[in-house]
Amino acid sequence: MLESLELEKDPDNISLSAQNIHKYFGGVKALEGASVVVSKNKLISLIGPNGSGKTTLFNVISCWSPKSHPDDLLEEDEVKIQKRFLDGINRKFGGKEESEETPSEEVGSVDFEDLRLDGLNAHEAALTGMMRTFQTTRNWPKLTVLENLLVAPQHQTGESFINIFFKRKQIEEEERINTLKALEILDFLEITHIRDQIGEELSGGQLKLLALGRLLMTAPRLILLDEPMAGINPTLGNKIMDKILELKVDSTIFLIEHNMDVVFNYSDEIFVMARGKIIAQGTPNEIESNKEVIEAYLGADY
Amino acid sequence: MAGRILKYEMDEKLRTLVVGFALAIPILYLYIYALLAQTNKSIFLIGTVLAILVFFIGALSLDLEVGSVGLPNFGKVAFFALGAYISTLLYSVYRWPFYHIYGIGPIAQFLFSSLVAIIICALVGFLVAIPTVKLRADYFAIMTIAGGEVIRLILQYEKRWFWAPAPVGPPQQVISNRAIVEFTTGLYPFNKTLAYFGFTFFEDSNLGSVFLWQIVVIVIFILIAITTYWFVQQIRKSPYGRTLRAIREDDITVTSVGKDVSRFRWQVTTLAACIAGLAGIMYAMTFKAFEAGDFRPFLTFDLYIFIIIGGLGNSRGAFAGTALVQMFLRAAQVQEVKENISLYLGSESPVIGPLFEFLQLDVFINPDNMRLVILGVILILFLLFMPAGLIPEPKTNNEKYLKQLTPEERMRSDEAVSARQSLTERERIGNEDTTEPSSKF
Ligand SMILES: Nc1ncnc2c1ncn2[C@@H]1O[C@H](COP(=O)(O)OP(=O)(O)OP(=O)(O)O)[C@@H](O)[C@H]1O
Ligand SMILES: [Mg+2]
Repeated sequence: MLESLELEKDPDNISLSAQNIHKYFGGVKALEGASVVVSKNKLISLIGPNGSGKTTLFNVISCWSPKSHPDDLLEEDEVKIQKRFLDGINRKFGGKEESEETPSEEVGSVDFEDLRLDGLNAHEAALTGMMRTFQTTRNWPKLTVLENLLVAPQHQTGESFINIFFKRKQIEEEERINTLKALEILDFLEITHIRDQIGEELSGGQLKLLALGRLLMTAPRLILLDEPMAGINPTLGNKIMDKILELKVDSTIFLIEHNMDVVFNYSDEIFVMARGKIIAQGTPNEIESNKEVIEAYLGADY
Repeated sequence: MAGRILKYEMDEKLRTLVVGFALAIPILYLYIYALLAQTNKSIFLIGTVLAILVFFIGALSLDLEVGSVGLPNFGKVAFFALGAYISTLLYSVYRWPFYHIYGIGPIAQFLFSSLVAIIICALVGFLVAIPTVKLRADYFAIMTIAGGEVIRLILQYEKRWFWAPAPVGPPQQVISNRAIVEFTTGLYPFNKTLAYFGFTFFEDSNLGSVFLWQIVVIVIFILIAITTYWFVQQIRKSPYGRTLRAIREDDITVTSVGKDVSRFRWQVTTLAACIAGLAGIMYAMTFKAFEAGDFRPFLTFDLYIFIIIGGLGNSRGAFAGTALVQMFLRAAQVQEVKENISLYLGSESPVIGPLFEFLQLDVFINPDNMRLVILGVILILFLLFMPAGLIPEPKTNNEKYLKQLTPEERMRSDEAVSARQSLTERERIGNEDTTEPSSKF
């Protein structure tokens, strides 16, 4: 615990900091003030029972869904709207300092390195160098595996309509570099043999690896992985995990996983979530002996 | 069963050939029948060629949206209408601002009108795209069909601007495009027949005479069609086109790697609007007189039939579909075809004849009245058994990426592929004759 606290205090070493995040779906409180701080170049795990809000937290962090206002459930609609309206007017015309400051603490915030992510679109958030995978694997079924990787790099010259006609040389050169990089990634993930297959022909495990590969094409500094090992046989799972560990050199990995062997063997730090809150955090050893966690999630076996 | 054979067991090329012939032979037969019945055959032929070229460009525009990026635009006809109206009104009605300049006036005016028409199509396309591209496909379809109708109704009822002022009396709803007429009548050598230049093929084969201007127009249209085709192909082959296909298949993943999906969508919608506007300009030149009622949603549905029969996401397919269906539609409208088809069906034989007469089957059973039914049936058959169309979108392959590599780089990767494939082959064979399962998971 001490170790992790020290890391938290050094702001240069923090990759992701999400503070006091709320998310309500109608009356369902998916997140109730969850906070996580993720240090750079570590493998951090997020565990918790089904429906505890792990995926929801990822969605909020990666700007796929907006977070809720903590007051959303407390006040009557009328009052709430009025308050928002007045807040907006104050911010726009009044220029009051405090109205800028107060909300962010109650409302919560997501920071990636020096960047405040709140209010960004999903694609803008992905451009900051934070990439995520989805719990249900996604791919482009009619594109070959190689193409699946080639679509991913960001800011491609060939993706601007005008450049297609006027910057052919540059596009060609870029395509070549990207192809080499894609082949390298296929080699790294040991799936070169499916290079020429199309997305819909792949098995579930291959799709997970492909999703990981697609994300690596963009050289992300923070990787959010939502159950990369669900439905994967343990041998392959360990292989994927070894691959993920190799990524720690350049990036930070934030992982949701239900496979406890993996989580406890590989993580530098573990967050435990239950009913939308972080109930414990610490090194694997600390978590393993934490009473609350055993009760909420691990069960008596641990 | 037939579908299964078509789907799985026949080689793709062979299937295209068989179905293509099954479709093309009756249509060609009908077309030649109609052609022979004409007194001036060359006009009929030229009319068909021009219509095919015009609708091919329209189909390309639609296919760019539907086939490449998966946006089902049902308002395409609006851009046809805008292109046709604006270019014609500026050139033939308002004649502003260049027309009266001596010498180059008409040409400058014509180019200016076309340019303005395309720019306005682009603007309207952009305005329609901004609120709609974020919608789900079905809502997008509804929005575009509504938008298209709104534009048509404005053209139909806004008399002050979109009706042609007549020298006497109220403005006319029918607009005439005079571009081709003005450029060709009385202008040597365009107003001479080919025979005048010693090329007597058409007269010799009894097809009627062909004027030089007709050939020039066809050549210009073909050049425009080829340029548009090339343009669309460039987009399809580029990384841009690859991202478009990715968006068509799963836009969420595209967003997750940091690409602004709406940007791609509005760009394509705007571009497709320009191309449709171009087709509209050519439509006005070809059909010369038109009114707002010509631009009903049916025209969009026709374009859908062309690209679905031809093959979505594939420019050559758009051409094949357009050519086949246009030939059918043209032939079906010919009087002789309408009348004689009932003869074939036995309206003069002793038993069937009176029945035929009684039920007035000759009204129903002629290809013109039945054309929607026939096209509908063909469309449904295609959707059921050959959803990829006559010429399916080419399968993606990695060749074009791999050939950029140096031989060594390429060999290394190829070896890794084949090594692993033969390994799995061996594993599979190995598993068959050992009792122990290879994996305990
Ligand atoms: N789009 C949604 N609409 C309504 N409720 C939702 C939505 N998404 C999530 N929830 C609810 O929020 C809660 C948290 O869901 P979440 O997907 O974050 O769970 P999780 O921790 O990822 O679970 P698992 O381990 O099963 O993946 C659940 O109760 C779920 O029903
Ligand atoms: Mg989940």
